[in-house]
Amino acid sequence: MDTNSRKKTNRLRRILIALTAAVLVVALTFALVACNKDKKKQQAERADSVALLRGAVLESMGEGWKNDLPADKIAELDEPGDYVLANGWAKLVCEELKDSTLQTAKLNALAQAVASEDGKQLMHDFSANAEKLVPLVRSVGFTQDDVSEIVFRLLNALASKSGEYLQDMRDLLLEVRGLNNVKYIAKVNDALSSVRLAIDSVVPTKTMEQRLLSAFEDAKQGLDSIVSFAYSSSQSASDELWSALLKSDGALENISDGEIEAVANAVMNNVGRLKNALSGDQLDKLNVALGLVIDQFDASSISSALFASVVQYAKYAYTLVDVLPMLCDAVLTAGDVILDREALDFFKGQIKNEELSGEMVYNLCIATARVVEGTLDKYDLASVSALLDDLADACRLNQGVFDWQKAIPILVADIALNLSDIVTDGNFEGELSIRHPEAVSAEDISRMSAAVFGLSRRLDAFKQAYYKFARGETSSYNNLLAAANACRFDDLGAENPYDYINETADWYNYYMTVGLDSAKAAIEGCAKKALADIKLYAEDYFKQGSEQKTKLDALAKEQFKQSMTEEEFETAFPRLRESGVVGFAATILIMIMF
Amino acid sequence: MFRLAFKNITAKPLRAVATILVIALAVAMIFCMLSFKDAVFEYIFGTQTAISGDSDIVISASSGSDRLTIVADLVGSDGSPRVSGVKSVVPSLALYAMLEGEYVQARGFEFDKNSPSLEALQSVDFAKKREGELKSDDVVISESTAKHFGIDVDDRISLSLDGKSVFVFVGGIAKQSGYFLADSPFLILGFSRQLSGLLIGGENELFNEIYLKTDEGADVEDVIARVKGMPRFEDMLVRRANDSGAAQEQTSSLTAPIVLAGGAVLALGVAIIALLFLMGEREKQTLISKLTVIGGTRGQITGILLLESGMLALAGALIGVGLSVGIFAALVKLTLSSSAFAISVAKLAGAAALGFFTAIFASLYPIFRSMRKSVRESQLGTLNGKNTFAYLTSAALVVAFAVSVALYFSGHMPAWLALALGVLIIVLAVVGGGTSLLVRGTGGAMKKTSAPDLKVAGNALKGKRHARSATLLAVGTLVAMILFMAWQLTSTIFTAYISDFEGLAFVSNIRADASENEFLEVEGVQDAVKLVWQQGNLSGKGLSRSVSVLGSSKALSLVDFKYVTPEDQLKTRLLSDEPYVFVDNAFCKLYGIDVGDSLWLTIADKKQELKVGGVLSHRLFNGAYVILSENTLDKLYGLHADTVIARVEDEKAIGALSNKFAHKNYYVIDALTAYRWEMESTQAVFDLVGTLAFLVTFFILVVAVAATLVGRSSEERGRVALLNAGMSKNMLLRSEIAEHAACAISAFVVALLLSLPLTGCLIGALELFGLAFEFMYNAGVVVAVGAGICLLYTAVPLAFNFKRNYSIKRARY
Repeated sequence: MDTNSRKKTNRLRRILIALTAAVLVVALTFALVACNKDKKKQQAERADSVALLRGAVLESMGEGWKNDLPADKIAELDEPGDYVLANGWAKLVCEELKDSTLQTAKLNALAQAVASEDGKQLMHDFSANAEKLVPLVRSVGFTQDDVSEIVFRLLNALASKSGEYLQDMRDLLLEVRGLNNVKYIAKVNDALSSVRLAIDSVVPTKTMEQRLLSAFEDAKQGLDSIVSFAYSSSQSASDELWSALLKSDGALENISDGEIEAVANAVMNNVGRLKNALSGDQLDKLNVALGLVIDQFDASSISSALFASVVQYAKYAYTLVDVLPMLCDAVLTAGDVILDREALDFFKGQIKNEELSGEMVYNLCIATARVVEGTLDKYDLASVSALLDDLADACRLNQGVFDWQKAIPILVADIALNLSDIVTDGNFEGELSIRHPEAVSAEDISRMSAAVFGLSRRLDAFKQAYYKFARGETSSYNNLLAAANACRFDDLGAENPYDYINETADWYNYYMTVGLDSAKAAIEGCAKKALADIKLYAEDYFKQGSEQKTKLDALAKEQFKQSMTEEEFETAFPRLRESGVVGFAATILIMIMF
Repeated sequence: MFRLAFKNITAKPLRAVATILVIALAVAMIFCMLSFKDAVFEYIFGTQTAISGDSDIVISASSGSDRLTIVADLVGSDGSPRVSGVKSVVPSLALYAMLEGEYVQARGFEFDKNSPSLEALQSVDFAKKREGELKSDDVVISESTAKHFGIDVDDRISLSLDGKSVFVFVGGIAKQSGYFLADSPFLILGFSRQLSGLLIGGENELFNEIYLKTDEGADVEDVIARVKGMPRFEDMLVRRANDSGAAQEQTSSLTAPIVLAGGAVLALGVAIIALLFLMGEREKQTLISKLTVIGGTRGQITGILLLESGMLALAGALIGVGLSVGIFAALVKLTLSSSAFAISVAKLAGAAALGFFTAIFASLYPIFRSMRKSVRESQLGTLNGKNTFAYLTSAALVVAFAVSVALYFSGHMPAWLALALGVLIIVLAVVGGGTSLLVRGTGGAMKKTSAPDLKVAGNALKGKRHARSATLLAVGTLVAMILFMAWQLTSTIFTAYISDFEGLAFVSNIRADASENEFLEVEGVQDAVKLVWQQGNLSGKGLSRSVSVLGSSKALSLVDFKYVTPEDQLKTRLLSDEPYVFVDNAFCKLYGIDVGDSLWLTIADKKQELKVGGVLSHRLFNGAYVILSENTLDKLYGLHADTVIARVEDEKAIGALSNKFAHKNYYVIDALTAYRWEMESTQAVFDLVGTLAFLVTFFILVVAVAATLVGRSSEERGRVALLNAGMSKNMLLRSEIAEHAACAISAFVVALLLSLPLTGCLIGALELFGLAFEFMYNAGVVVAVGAGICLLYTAVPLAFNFKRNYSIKRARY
């Protein structure tokens, strides 16, 4: 090869090498930049989604409300105080959502849902429309894991971050108040009072904060399970199964016994998971965590309706948590009973009848008997007594600091047991006949009803109603009175001396102090009697040669009837009544029919 | 000696590089052809087992069983299997849902909150993924699904079924591998907890399929029997999750033409290496004579030349190994989108060894020839006048015929096959001999013209180099034609009978108690046949093939069958309760099956003996189908109708069927679309075949050009002499173009003429693979391929700018 050719070849080679190296470097750089860009883009998108959500929330709550308005713009609003509070709490909630594992698309969808008509109603008056919350989040696609994660985060945020956000809200309100152009200074002052109250009553001390966070972490498994179960039960598969049984078309048309078993099995697995999650020391940890929440956070002081709802649901959970394992056992047993082929055949046939037939009631009583017998078979007198003693401990009976909310399940159980004795002729009418008059009286049962169906269910609504009244959101005395009456304070020995119109604040405070104390005392008395009564029922059932058990067992062993005449039903009815399950069966029937 | 050998190599670097490159490419080509079938098998097997992965048994709903099932009987409360021989149990929910009005497969696995994973049966190769772990309402889709629906990671999509809908969120986009090899219809992979919402509200884990992995050494049939014995599963389909036999058969069907052509490609690769070394024969002989003159012994000379060839061959083989892996892996990845292909070390070594030893042996030939000549003869480059190649060709012909005749009379080969093989060998021999004759003839004709450039070209064409180049090109063009026709043939395997499906709609996943009248009620539906449609294995009389089982006495009305057995006789038997099976004429041709013969048909691991009741003829499934009556299938196999085939007027009727039955989780699809999907899922194989065809064609051109450049380098003296004599560069260039054109046209003509009988041999030889095809010859493909190669070869002098290197100078020896 001559010199020129050699030079050309070498030059070509060098150019080729340089080109290859350049391409490699460019490709590598591009790859790195692309990766980084991807992650940053995702983070930016998420931040945008959250901002969008917060904006949607604020806009639903008030006209012209936008994210982080400056003080001078806030001053011009019609509701400056409400805006600052709403903006502050929404910021906290949205920060938690942003840091959660919820998909960004879900947050976008939530923003759209909030901006819808239902969403606006909910945001505008959360307390009054709280029942719209679950359907709203469900329509967005929230799963049970999402809800349990958010609830957990919000509880933690309430404990650890509420102070910081409340202080920011206070500072902003002070800033607004200091401006010259404030349109409604009184409202700013009201909000400031509310925030100061919240700082004093809601924000925990550092020690308490650590206790709360630690308790939440310990009880996480239990908390997640309860919340998940509650959320998934709000759209229960049993409803869907019911409609699948009724439908004659669709993906599961003419559903077979095996398919029913598969669906029921899936539902039962959820119950089983809940029971497992509450086993061991999880129950104790859960009690501690929920107890701390209730002790620390008074719902009426939290100016955020969402957080108030979370605390409220924590209270509901608190009342049920000790009996949940037994309830799970009962549900699991019920599952086995229902999946009996004979039972399935009958109920599948009956389900399409709209009229209540004798054999329907009869067979339902048999099914109930089987469930009760199956559940109680897992227990004995000692374990039931121990459970009752645990419940007594849980509500701190006879300890001077009675927790009346924890006593509610005891009252419910005693009412259901005694309900069987109300029925005398199969028509659910007649005098109340008490099986153990030495333990409880008719008045006691009446007081228990007031506690369960009145005070327990309506107290928070009464508090919210007053709170709104106090803030001037409503001026209806009648509504306030109705809310108070629904709590049935009078039936629980709390007669208010104040006039609700002229002495509203005193009237309300009386109920919250003296009234509640009277009600608690009445409920404590009922709870002791209810426990004694239930123990007597348990003794009746578990004693050697128990007539109660024999009758229940006999009923449980009876075969389902495909048809019954009226005479046959009337003949059979005393047997049903004496078994003691009619009350429970009646409850189930009411649930089915309504 | 080593230094001398190395010096010889570096004296002509271009030739050395070209030689190494050609050897490397030949090795790569040989490896590609050897590995092709394995790659296709892995792909097809992977597609068939896309969902089941490495599980051994699948339990699924039949048309008469429960649509849902539970795993409680198979798994204890602690999660461990309860059936002996079972290692793991993976439940799954499989549904046909709607996404933006289109059918998709929604598949869900059990959700484990602590370690959520969709890799229960297969690994998932993510192209894009959202950060963090998957949530219970996350799904993973394939790249093609994402592209089709315009979806990206973290998008929310709504799936619906029977009036219910669930939201799911795209947690990741996966590459087209693993589960997503079976992406027709598009697969939405998620968790049962969310997807169950399509059946029943709430978040509940429902399942309708269970995959079992057995213990090492466990008897799968035994486990199947035990599971089938459980009351819960007695009505369900319990069968092997993967059937490598069926995959082997399908692979054979798709690859048969290429495997056959591969033999020719293999021979081509070997021939190319041999020819390349033979091209330098003259220089070798000159060198040998020079070395002899200066006192080199035979041993020393042989040693030097062997060392030289050995180094080139070794370099070529080693680079070929690297190229083979790279080219084939890239090919497989590009066409099959599969990264799961294992490189066979044995085949790689074999290809490299073949290339290496071919080079060595080819390099021995000039040494051998020189040893037989005097030094003077070697120096002058005179050759003996004997046409050794012609003798070899004749001998090969005789041997081939003798072998074919012997095989025929031995009963191991039918006459037509013996003929086909014989014709194949003749064709190759004629190509080798005929092309050189045609080139020389063309050269002679050109010499007689008045144009000086043509005269010069004609003279040059006398040389052996051009004869070899033309032969090489002819063989290469013929092989390329075969490959492209094989490609076209492969892709028509599915399309041949599809036109008969026009106007048909398939409704699958039906319940056994569905009535044909429900379908006939739909406007636009002219006819509806309810039938069993399953896959089975037909065996007996030397046959063992996967077949599509069509179970209905009305199946004959589906397409226009031709009746080999009289129609009324066949129909009478089909309507009777006797256990008859009706087969395609292809089985009779291939395996000598006749009416009255006993065969065994296995469906879902149940094997029954049946009698051949009649013979039909249709291109349906390339003959791999059988027809039975529904009563026979019910009595012998316990199978009930699971599909309806409806004859429809138009697309509107298909839409109406879909509207009426989609909510029942019936799957309604236009037959042509169904096979479009099947074709699309095997399109990758077609792409591989096509890419191989292009690759080999490219290789042929590269080799032909390289051979030309190498061979041409030894004729520099002649060109210099012509230029010195006053020939212009342009004229010389035209002359070289004419040489190339003559070679190319000769090669094209020979290849074109021989492509017809060769196609006949190819189709006849396909019957070796149990494939009965009608004659298919596509002249357009053949002419296009041949003309393309011809034109490209003719343009080589221009493309490589021969003119630039023309110079009036003293040539070096």
